[in-house]
Amino acid sequence: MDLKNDFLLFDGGFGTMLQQRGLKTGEQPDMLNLTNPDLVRQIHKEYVDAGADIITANTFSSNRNKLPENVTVDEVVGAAIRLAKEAGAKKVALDVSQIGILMEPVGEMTFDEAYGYFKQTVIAGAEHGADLILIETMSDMLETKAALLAAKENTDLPVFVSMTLGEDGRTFLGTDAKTIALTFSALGADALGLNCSLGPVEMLPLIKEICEYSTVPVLCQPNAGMPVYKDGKTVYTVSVDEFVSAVSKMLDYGVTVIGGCCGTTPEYTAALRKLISGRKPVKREIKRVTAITSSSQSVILDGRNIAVIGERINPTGKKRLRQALVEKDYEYILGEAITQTENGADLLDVNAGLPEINEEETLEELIRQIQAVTALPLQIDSSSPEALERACRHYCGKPIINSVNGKKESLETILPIAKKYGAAVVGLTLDENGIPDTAEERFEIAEKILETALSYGIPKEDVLIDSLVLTASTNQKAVMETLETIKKVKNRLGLKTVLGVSNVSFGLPNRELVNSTFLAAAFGAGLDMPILNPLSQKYTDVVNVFKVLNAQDENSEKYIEKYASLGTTDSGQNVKKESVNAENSIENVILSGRKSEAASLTKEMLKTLSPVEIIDKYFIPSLDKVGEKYEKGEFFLPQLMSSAETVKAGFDVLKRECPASETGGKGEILVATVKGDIHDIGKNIVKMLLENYGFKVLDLGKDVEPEDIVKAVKEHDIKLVGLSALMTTTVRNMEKTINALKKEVPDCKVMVGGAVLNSEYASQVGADFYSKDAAGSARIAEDYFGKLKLEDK
Amino acid sequence: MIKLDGNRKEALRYLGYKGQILNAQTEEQLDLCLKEGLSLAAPRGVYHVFDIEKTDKGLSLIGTDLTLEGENIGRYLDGAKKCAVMAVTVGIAIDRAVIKYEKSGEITKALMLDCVATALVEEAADKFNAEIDENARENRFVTRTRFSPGYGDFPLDTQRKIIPLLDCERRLGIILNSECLMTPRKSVTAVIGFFEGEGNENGFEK
Repeated sequence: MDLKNDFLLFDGGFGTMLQQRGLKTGEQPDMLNLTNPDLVRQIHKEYVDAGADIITANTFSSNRNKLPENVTVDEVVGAAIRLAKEAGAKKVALDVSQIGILMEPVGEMTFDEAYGYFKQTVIAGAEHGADLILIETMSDMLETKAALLAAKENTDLPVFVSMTLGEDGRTFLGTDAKTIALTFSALGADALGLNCSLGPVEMLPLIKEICEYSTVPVLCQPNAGMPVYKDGKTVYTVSVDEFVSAVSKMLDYGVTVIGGCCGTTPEYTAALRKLISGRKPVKREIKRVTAITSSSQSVILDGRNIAVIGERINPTGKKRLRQALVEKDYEYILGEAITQTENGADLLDVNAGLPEINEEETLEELIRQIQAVTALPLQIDSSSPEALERACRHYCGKPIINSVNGKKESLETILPIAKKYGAAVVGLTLDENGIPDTAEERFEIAEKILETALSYGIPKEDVLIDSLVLTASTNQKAVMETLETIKKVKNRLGLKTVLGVSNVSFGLPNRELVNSTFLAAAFGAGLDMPILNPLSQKYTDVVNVFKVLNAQDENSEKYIEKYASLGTTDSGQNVKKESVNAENSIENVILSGRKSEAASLTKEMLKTLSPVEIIDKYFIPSLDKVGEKYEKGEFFLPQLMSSAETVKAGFDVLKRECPASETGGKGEILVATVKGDIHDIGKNIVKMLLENYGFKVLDLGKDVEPEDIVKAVKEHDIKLVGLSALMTTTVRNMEKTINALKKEVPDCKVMVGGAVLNSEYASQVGADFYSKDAAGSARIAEDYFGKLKLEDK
Repeated sequence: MIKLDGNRKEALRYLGYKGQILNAQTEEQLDLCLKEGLSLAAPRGVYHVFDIEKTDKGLSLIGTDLTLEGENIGRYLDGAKKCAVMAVTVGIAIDRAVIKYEKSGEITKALMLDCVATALVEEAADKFNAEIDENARENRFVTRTRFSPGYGDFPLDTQRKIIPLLDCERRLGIILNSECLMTPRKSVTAVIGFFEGEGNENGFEK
């Protein structure tokens, strides 16, 4: 297949043909490979006769999750490919689509699970003689990436990737056309494009955008229009002529792989055959840009545009983040991700390099968690090739790797990872001899990094250079060499540049002033992506001004919006301080749920009180009052929760300032939402309240297997478990979990709660305690652990 | 296209509100959540109308492999000539936002947005339902208030047939988990009976 110089014509709709032949709607077409092979063969043959180069095997749903249990993936796929061949297909594509389980974080499927499903199907396809793999009608970028990697790692077949966009130009999960093109070009798809959902006319502008950015051949298989519901049937109303005339425009954009999806028939295929015969593929003008993507955003460094990388998720020199990483306190880290996002970062650096933790495991977990809360693309920051590889593999989109350097070993281990996962990579200008003194020597290292990257097949746009800044207080003369290196790299190599800014001021007073002045100078030298703290006002000022000067902030709109009012309003310095009598007002703050005031008040109280006193004499009595008001119906749930969040903010201060033994000594409780249940907001409220009352809470999350709960109870010697189930259907999994606990760890008690439960039902499933709300669970825990303590004495 | 307005009163009802005095902070937070919910919602719906016939197992939808089982649905559709099967969702962006707030400890906001979203999907279902009622009226039928899998003894399992029947995965992005729960979580499926005879604006009258 030479997709640059030849067209490739796929067949058209399969379901449409089945419906015409009276297949009941709702039946799974893939089973027909076994139950009605003649029909399948006949449909394929009609497409062969119409002139299709490629017949798509009837395997859209042939994965272990979707097929009925009484058939194997291998037999269905095998039959499908055989039927396509028997119909006279020149080439047969194994059709691969969604597994049918939603991926994390909203759904339950992990990347590795998705990969496992796809692996099974693609191996069967390759063994039964498919000529290529078509991954199509995809909505989730990460699931698509799992399919692509499974295909590339387990077969030698060409792999085409096609996603499906709605009228808003995005997939159901929010991925847009440009991001698809940038990400899957980098990941090594052999062709990429769009199919289904839209008709050819609606698809035109989206395909045009893909043609601008895709570095691989572009494919397009539209529906015969948008589905219209008419006389009890879904119909597609775009005629063959209209279809062909739209596809003809796509050929002008440079599309080379065409076909049809829902509503198209052999008639359409024959017309497309006519369209391409006698035409030659159009050579596309591809925009080769430096781009970093997530599932729903692309940061593109076009011309003189700059982008800010947030530096705050890096434990170096950050005590609180260190502690959070060690304790797996993801809530704090995710808070950092969200704050940086809200403060204008364009990308986030993520680093988990701490000797006392498993970096590989933690970095992967961080990437997954952070991608659940921010749409910003990430820079994966590690010196461990293993950690980098694992993080890149599980990353949704096209990341930047930070970093490779001029050392032979680094080049040889890091660059293959960047190539395989389509990542951009930051090259540090140092090598076996350290950081050179002069700009010229640093430039030479940059040049070596570029050459080596090119030899691995990494495109030039994906190589960025960090010319390394040393501290001005000890290496004063070196600072200008750094800026000089940026200029040389930009002018002579045409590469984009990255620079961590904050180091320069180390050891000097008023560091922010030094940093922001240096940042401005670096922008002047041509810096594209500073790594900095987006929460620093001085940095942000420089960035905002520079975006005016380089014309990135069009008509200075954003600048004016931010700064126009300055000088006419308060500078924000005179925040009300209620330092007087903090203890008296903490109750007020808690009762009215003024979360933002809790931290400073608690700090104030710590000057004269111990953590235990604060918890027992102030937090808990206030919470009890809140609980009472809730019981009486004076408060409703959001008010109770706001109060709980307020106490939590106070607790965070205690945890930060004091050893753990002083804040969580009342007993440890495990909480989880049972297997099958995905609603965990109730459980989260319980967790927060229990923590507020001074209990240590081990949260296993939602959809948890009984065995995992038993295991954790044993491991942590847990004496009280809280289980939540929201659905009648999942209460039986609650019962299973309780039975397992009673059998394996009989002295562990179980309290339960959830919308469908009552005390009677709770005792039926074997629970020791039932709580109708979160406040109740705290009372149960207080009583229970109080009694345990008495027994101990 | 379904256009949503947002329903503050309903959102408050889902939050368990019973006329308590709301402080300024709660009011403000709720308004922000309403605004966010509306901006994230992507309401979409699909429906088909089927002829039905009684079989041993229950009510069979002609031309499909779906049979509606259970006494309650049987009673609901008693005397119906046809029924519509519908699916409506407000999309996954709201789910993601709720998860974002949950994960970062903003749990009050998570709950509020979640309840706002429940009100939104009900509003979407009502508006989509009204289109179906209109279709019924045009064909001289009257409808009854919709009935969803999981109500009474109408098995939740029915989802396993409804989702492929309406091609929900491709058309709406709805996927079921092992317990027949839908994602996006704020999605609704339902059956609507079409009856011959006199009706009024509010639906069925015998």
